Amino acid sequence: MKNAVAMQQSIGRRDRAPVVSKLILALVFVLGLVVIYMGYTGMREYGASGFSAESAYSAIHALGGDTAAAWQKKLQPQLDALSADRRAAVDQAAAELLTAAWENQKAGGAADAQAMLDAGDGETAWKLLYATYLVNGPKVSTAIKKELAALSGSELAETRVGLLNCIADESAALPKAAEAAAGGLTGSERTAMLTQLLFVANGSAEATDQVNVLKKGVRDKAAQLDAFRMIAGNEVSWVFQLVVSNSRTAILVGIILALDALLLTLLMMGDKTWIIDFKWIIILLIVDFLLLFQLMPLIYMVIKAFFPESSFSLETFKRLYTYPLNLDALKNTLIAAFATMILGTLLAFPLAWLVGRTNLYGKKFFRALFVLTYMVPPYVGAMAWLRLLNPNVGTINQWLRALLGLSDAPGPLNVYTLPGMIWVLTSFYYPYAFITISRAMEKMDPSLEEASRISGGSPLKTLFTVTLPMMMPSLISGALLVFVSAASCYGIPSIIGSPGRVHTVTTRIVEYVSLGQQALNDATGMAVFLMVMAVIILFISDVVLAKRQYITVSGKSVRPAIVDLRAWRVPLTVIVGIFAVIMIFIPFATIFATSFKIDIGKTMFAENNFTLINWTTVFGRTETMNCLKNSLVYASVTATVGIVIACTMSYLLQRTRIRGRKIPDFLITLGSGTPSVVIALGLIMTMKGNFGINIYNTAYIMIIAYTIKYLMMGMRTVVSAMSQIHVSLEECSQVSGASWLRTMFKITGPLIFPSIAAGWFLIFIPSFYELSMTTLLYSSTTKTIGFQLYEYWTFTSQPMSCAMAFGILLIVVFLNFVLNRLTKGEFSI
Amino acid sequence: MKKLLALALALIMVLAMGGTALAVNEDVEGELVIYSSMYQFVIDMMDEALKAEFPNLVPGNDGSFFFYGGTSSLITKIYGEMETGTLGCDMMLVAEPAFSLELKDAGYLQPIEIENPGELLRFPYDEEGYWYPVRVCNMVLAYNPEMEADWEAKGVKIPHTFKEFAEDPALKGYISMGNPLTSGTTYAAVASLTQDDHYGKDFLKGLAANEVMIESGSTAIGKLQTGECAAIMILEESILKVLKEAADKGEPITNLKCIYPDDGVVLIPSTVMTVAEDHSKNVNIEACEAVEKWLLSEPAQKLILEGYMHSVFAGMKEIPYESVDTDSLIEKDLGVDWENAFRNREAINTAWTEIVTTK
Repeated sequence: MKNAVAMQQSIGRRDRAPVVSKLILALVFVLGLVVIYMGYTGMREYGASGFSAESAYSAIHALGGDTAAAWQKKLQPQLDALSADRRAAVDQAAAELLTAAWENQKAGGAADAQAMLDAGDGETAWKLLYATYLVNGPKVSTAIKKELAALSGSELAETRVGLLNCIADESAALPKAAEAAAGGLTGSERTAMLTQLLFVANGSAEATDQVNVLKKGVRDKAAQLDAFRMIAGNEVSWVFQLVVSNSRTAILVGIILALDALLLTLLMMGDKTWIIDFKWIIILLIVDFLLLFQLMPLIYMVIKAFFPESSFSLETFKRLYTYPLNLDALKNTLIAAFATMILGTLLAFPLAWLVGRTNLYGKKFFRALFVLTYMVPPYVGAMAWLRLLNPNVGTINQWLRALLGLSDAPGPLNVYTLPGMIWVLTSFYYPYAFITISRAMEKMDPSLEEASRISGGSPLKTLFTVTLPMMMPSLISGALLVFVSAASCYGIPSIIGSPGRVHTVTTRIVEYVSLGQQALNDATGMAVFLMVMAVIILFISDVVLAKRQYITVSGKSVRPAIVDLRAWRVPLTVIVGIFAVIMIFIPFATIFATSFKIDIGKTMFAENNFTLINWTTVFGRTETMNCLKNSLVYASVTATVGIVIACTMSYLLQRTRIRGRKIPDFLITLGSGTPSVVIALGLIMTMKGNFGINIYNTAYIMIIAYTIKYLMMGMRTVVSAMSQIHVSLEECSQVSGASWLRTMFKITGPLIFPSIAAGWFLIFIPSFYELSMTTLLYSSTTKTIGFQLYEYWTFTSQPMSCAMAFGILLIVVFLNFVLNRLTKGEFSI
Repeated sequence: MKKLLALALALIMVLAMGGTALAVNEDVEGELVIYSSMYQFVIDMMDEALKAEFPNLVPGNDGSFFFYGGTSSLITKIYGEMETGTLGCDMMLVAEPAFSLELKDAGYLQPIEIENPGELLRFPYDEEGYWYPVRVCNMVLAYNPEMEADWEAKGVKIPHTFKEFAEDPALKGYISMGNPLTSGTTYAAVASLTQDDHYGKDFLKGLAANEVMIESGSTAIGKLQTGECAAIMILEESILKVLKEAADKGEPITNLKCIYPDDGVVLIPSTVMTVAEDHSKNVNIEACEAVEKWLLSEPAQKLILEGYMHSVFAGMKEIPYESVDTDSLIEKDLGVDWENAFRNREAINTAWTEIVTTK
């Protein structure tokens, strides 16, 4: 009976749900429109004001309150206490001072003041003068302010009376506190100073902050008169100031609310149950985040590129994309990114297979080693390769010349070429593919491979016909990451490419942004190429992946089978070892050795050339530790926010058929494909308050910039992992009564956790040492280790920067090790 | 150490003025932010000195008056901020007069009147007061004395003029310089050397023929030390700083030396500018004026010398560490036509791009 009642209640709730949901949606939509209208009203009011910032209204509101209080509590009683003659004299003086002050503000200001005086009563002149002098009155020195502030209550009252007497009668003796300020003055100057002293003695100094806000908000002198009038009349109510001061934010919030209501309606129309699902709310929050902080800045910049002179024109693009040097840069970028992608993936797949699925000697060691290059900033690694492979005195070239008996002529290898640049790019970006592929391999169901082996397939045949095709999502994800990263990289092309006249899109963009305000459009125009490339690659990968299913985890997954390399075990270990020496040991040893040198031109072991001072100096400075702390915090927050978004997006892409689910995916890919400098410029232009959000010079803007740039690193890894988990596992859980959240935490989450961990690190590490965006967005308290490293590199000392770079590497490796131990190998790369 | 030095200097300045300094400047109030591309340690010294000199002025950048950045980063940031109508600073101590002329032309600067600038300064300034030189960088050549014999053995003679640097074929593949498209001082040097009254476009053709390596940042010093390059075009201060810091550590180095070219040096004043009221962060012109005047005073100029740059102060006899007399440098200064550098920026950059950086 109880169950029947409960069931009836449940059915009743479900029946009512569509109505309630629709009502909520309608309310949110209407609320959005109302907020937009309020914002619009505020904007209109503000637009008509002639003020330069809405914040003026908050200052006017605050100063209006102060002025009213000062009048009621102090000025009015003091004036009322004067004799009629004196009162008339001081009122007359105030009126004269006011007209003079307003005439100074703008031509004809005196007439405006007179008109207000004629229409007003006795207090009008005083209130207007008070407001005017708050902003533009005679300067009272700090010493005198202090002197006045130090007076006792009775002394202060005496001083005020004395000042009023002096204003009324020029021959009256000055109060002691006014002697220094007004002693040498005569006429209206003296009266003005005495009046200002009277105001200061009444406590107007307390409003300094608001006066500064007002000055910033109303920069035009003539427009300030309106502000004075509003202050004197205490005209701005708190509701009004709230609406006008936040009108842009209100419009933004209203748009987001209305959009969310519309999007949710679309989602629910597709679902047909009309029950608001928790996961949709999360998805909407992510979409809102991307719309506000990513799409708005990028769209703003792209629109500017299409509207260079406030009207639509393709001139920017035509000019950019017909300029031979730019075409050369486009060609080089495409070749470099494509070659790096192919080379990186070709290296990463066999390495991931060897260390993950075979009995290779030292595979755990190699596994940790192959991700090391990802843990130092690319420009530091580029410098190492430059030392090794420069044609004149590169260490490897010198070895080769000695080995091959060649002359001292430059070569045989030259890093300052396109192939040289591709090599260095590959050495830094193959870990993206390696990490993505190796994580997926670890969770792969071995039954398919076992079936192949039982059917007579050799290990190699099984690898190419079973493992490789099943790894396709991870392989493509890894390749996509490598491509996008290589194409939008600036550090390596600037150090390796520029000396050899190998231009890329990013080096051209950085050249453009230094050339003038108009050239920012050119930079954006060039960046559009990279954005389009990233989206095309995403599209191609989607098309390829859409043709098949790649489920490799279907419920009975255990540990993947380990392939016995047999006779190949030793040779393959040697080959992998040689690869590790060339790709990792030599460049890292170069950085390490440089960190102990005094003179980088000599070997570490040359006489008097070994020192520890670089290490002790760098890590003995408080600033280094502060920067380190900032970097750890920002990178951790970025990685955590990023991975939450990545997991949600993965669910959206892999487990729903909601229309438009690929839009956030597209946006995230677009962000990653955009060069860092363009992202930072977009944020500067849109997050400085002019679009309702002001996070300029804060840690938030940096975290947002990092998230935009590196979110895809985590997302691709998680998406590819989830694509390999069969949905039947989740269905089983939910059929057994588990909620969606419980299913996610108990079933899907643990299965893709290695990829989540890898994704977290893939976002964390580049955020940790990020440079290009940081240099444009940091403030004194938000300096990061990447910026500090660049500082050392460029202006202080290369050995010190090498010490710092190696220190960063050790910290990241240590962090990875600790997390590995704490989570028993689950959370690490 | 540098902070201690700054504090000591500030204290000496205060004491030297018999306690009147605070009284003079304590009325300067409000907030102030300055964008500057000077070395961080110079900024630290100036920051401390400013705090002592202007006790009631609030450092607007989280406890510091300065926001530091490389010149190209700051210029990019400024261009970005110009889109929003207001800059994030009240003053700028960045870049060279061509950039100042650009900002003046765009209406972003506030004129500040300085008494007798002609007598006070030994470098060009804006007669309307929109910008004044505050420090002077010097574009020179540099080489590694320890490797001179090795280079000579290879048939490479260390250049002693800019002309040799660009045109001596023996130097092909062994020279390096900055990128004028991203470095203001390199741009100024290129603008000067390619003026018709100097070497014109032949200078660029020479650089192209000699396959000059174009560097970002000051990575070129390492190339001298390792022997990858025989000579580089670089700011004098970059070399002096390395020499001084090594000497301070008690480990002086002898593998870097400036060449003050026989055909002239390129002195590049870096300017101080006050942002116009309509575009400034804190609308505090009074403070800007006071600080600008202080920057052009002897105590501030001595801090400039500490930063390995030359003083703009006429009559200042002191020179940066191991440099040469400023007045003698002025005599051999090739000079930059700043109006030309500003008005013809696109043409100069295009010539550079098409002649030097295109294969």
